Amino acid sequence: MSAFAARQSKTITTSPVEREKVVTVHQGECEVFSDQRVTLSTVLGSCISACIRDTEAGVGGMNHFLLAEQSGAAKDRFGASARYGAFAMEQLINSVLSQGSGRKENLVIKVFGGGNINTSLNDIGAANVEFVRRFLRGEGYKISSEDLGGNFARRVMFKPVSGRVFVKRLDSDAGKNVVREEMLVARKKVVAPPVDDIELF
Amino acid sequence: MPKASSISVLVVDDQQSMRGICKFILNQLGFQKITEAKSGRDALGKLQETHIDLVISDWNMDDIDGLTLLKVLRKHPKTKSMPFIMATGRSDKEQVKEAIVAGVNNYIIKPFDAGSMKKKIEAVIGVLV
Repeated sequence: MSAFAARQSKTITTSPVEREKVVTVHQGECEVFSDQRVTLSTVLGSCISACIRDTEAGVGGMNHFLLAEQSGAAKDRFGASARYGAFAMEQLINSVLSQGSGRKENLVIKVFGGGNINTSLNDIGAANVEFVRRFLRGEGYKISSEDLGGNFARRVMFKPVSGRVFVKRLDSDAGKNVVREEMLVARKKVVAPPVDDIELF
Repeated sequence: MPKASSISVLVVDDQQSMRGICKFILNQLGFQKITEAKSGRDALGKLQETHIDLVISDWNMDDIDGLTLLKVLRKHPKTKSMPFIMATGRSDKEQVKEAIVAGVNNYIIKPFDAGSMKKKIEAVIGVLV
């Protein structure tokens, strides 16, 4: 299990028949596994999840984040939201690389989410899609597969060892609940930056 | 008291977006002389060709990582006292301890903002004007 997994009390469901483990990746989390029995699972409204796998090492991981306050203006390229998103992506990439082959060319990247469920509000989903595309392009990565945008929420299941992804589109009532919860979590996380909790100097 | 605009900073990170964020924050704090390096190896080259007063380096990098870079600098007479701040993730306490043993001056936890960056820099080189 990864260091990130150990940090939180995780929802891990084990099926008695196939001994499969389902690990839920909540907003703000990042999980990396090399166990083929594991399936990483998440539900996305306007949030983004990247599923990244090291093809040589058979290690893969998923993150889950939302840039809640991005408006697309130039000053926001390095604003609090974008910094948070860049960190979420860097955290996943570095975790997969350090537990895998360490070679960027072995990474296969798939991205999901960024839906616009509440059409009356700003299209936060689109801003998130734009962010993840720009980030990956800037870092020289290609997106091998994606299911982004649209006016629905999604459940995404990712097998970190094989790289297979299953996406289920959710109905609009479920989607609205997902977005409401995402916004609550995102506001808390972005407004309160992490405090340095290692006092050494 | 050091003047931010006269201090030359080397930002070392293999991710272009992280270098961009770091540069943006340093600009906000009044730093104008900022050199970027995209790896530890690149940083060693930049340190030879440019005068640098402060290094802010990521830990995880492709060729020479942040810790190795720090160790190399601490061995060399010219750079053994170079102010060095390591940028690290929240869950990397063990890395921070290792960096202290290797002689790091301070660390900063990502994602950071201008306030925490200022605090860390001032703890290393003094209050900025």
